[in-house]
Amino acid sequence: LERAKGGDREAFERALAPYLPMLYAYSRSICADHHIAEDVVQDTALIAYRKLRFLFPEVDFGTWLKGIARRQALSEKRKAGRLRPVVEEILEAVYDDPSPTAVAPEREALEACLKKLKGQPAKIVGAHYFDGEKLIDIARLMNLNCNTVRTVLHRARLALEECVRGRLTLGGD
Amino acid sequence: MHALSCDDARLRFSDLLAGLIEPADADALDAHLAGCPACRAAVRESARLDRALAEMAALAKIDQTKARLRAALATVAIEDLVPEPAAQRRWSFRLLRLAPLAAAILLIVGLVFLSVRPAPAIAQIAEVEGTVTVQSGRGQYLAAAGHSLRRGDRIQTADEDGRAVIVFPDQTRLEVGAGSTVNEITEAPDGDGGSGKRIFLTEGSISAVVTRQPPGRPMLLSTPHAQVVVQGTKVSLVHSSRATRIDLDEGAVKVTRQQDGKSVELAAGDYALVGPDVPAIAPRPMPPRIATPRASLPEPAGRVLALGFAPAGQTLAWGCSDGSVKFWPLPPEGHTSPSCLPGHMPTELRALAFSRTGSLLATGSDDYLVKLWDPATFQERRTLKVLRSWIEALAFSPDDATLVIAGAHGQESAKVRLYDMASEKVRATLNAHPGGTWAVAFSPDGKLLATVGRDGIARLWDPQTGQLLQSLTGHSGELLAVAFSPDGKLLATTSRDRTVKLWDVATGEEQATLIGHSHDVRAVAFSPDGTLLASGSMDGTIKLWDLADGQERATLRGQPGGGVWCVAFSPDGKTLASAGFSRAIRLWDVPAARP
Repeated sequence: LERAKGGDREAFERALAPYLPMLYAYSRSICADHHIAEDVVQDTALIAYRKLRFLFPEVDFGTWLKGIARRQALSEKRKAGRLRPVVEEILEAVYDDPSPTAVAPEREALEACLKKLKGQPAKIVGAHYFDGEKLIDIARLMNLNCNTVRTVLHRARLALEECVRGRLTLGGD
Repeated sequence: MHALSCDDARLRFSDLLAGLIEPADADALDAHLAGCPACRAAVRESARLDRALAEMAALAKIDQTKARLRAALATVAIEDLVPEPAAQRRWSFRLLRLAPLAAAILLIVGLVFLSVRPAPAIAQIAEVEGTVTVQSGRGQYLAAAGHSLRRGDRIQTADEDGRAVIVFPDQTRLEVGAGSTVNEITEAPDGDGGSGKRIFLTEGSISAVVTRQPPGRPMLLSTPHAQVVVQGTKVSLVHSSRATRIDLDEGAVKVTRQQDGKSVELAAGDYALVGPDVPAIAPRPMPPRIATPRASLPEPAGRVLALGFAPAGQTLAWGCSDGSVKFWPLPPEGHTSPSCLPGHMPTELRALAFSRTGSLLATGSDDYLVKLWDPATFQERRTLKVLRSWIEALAFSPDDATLVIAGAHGQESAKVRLYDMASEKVRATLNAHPGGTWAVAFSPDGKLLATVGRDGIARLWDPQTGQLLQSLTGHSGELLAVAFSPDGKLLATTSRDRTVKLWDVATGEEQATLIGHSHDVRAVAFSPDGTLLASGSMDGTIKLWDLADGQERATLRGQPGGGVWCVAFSPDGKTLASAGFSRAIRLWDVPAARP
């Protein structure tokens, strides 16, 4: 970071890289849109690079980055409607630890749980999370009713939650 | 409000995360969550799963994200060069207030404009990749396809990914490579000294496909070392502070040394070196260019910055940009996918070293950690956190008693640790290179340790005492890689100055400078029999040099679309492995030193 503060772009890129997944997930949870979240991450990176001299040594880099992303994401979110206070509080609690490894156990468990997901739920989870498709577009692509896609995604998420919980608490499924 | 069940609340939260919720439903959800702690806990669990899923999705395309950000960040410094619109508005406002003065100035400017015709466009930018800037009399701007170039314009391409193609009205085509500066593009009018197009390259590389020029008006391609007179041909120039190299694919050119006016004619298939390090200017036959490797192993995780053969040659290991280590049994034929060890955090794995016996593999990454693996069982043996720096280089001593750990960023980047494998403690710390160490190597007898780094100096140490024995200076840029020859008599170093240097280890004297790459030389390796040296560069090629005469034996077009970051010879010397920014590991048959 010291090198990055001195204008070393490569050093900045390397310091930033581990936090990119968290920044994307956080922005996406606020904005509820893959493309806007990607833009927020890019804006966050540019602002952070320009303002790096204001990052004081006692401040955690991840928390500082998350603060920038929060301002950018909320500003984007306001265009579509405000974020409700209790939901905001819940999201903040989930991202309270901005470190790259905060949800590493869940990610690891998900690797296995996603493999167990088959058929339509697997396709919808893949299209929504990994390809960044909106549910309405997934419905069109799969020739389904949007309400069906919404329900299938929700159920798939519940199944994944249960599977992850099982793997984390019992050490397996 | 308890009208919602927790299941309903979770469904609505799911809608909210998908951007499908109506404002009234969002209010109802929030009100319900405010009064229902159990639902809050359930929704929190859903949000945590959402985080994990979204992070996985981001990790799956982390390389694209990084590349996009790299391009965006590259514009920051350039934007700063452009006057801010606000400042322009302020000036406009002042001009309005000073209308009479402005009118007078406008009148004078108008008269000057009428009396001086703007310089005509002499070429056009046809293609741009990465960041390319043009400095002209009108200021500096980011180049884009379609921009016109006028007499005296200066073009600069970004170090990593900049590239521009310039086309003249007669279809002469000039490609400016990454990290280049073309200081001047001019076209002398008819009758002005008889010359036509002139290009002055002060750094980097250009490739030109020159249409036949009018009689008496040849094109001049110049560098501080050489001038090349071109009529109609296919030629490329690589310039560094040490020398200019001219490669001629078609036609004939005359190359003149700027220093003393001595010249030589090159025919198709020749190359020549001109510079202070090259005593005689003479045409030499261009070594063969090999485009197809024997095998190409896909690496979907992205770029590969470290690789190595196990000492018995049965396995190739490499580190990925997702922090994992991969093993591929050799020969590769018959195997479909490598074994993968998810080891480090999702940060780039930049250092990898097998112990001499092959019983251990050490890997180091940006997470400050060094991990030791058993390559036979793929089990992690130990994790070392002994250097607060992103780990750049690792090397086992020949007796496997010491592991050297070096880094190039972070609080302790100037330090190199010597870790004792038996006592599991740091035995000594070297203050090696201010700013960081990029590479380390033990001599085959284990009596010397070489380190190279940001300060542009190669250092030789006594690994037993930690005493500095020699500092080798001569490169004009950061040093990036280092290797000892198998007999321990030669040391090879590579640099951002685009060259490889060979040093006599006993005397510390420079033996040779190998010139030919058009970008940073990132990797170096001696063949096990000591007859060949392989150098890998960010120009995307690997060059094989014959150590008997310092001549280039072959150019392997290693990693199209990306630089070469690492090369390694197999223990039997028959295979060379290369990797870098393209998503593949390539295995090459090693040609004989003397064809």
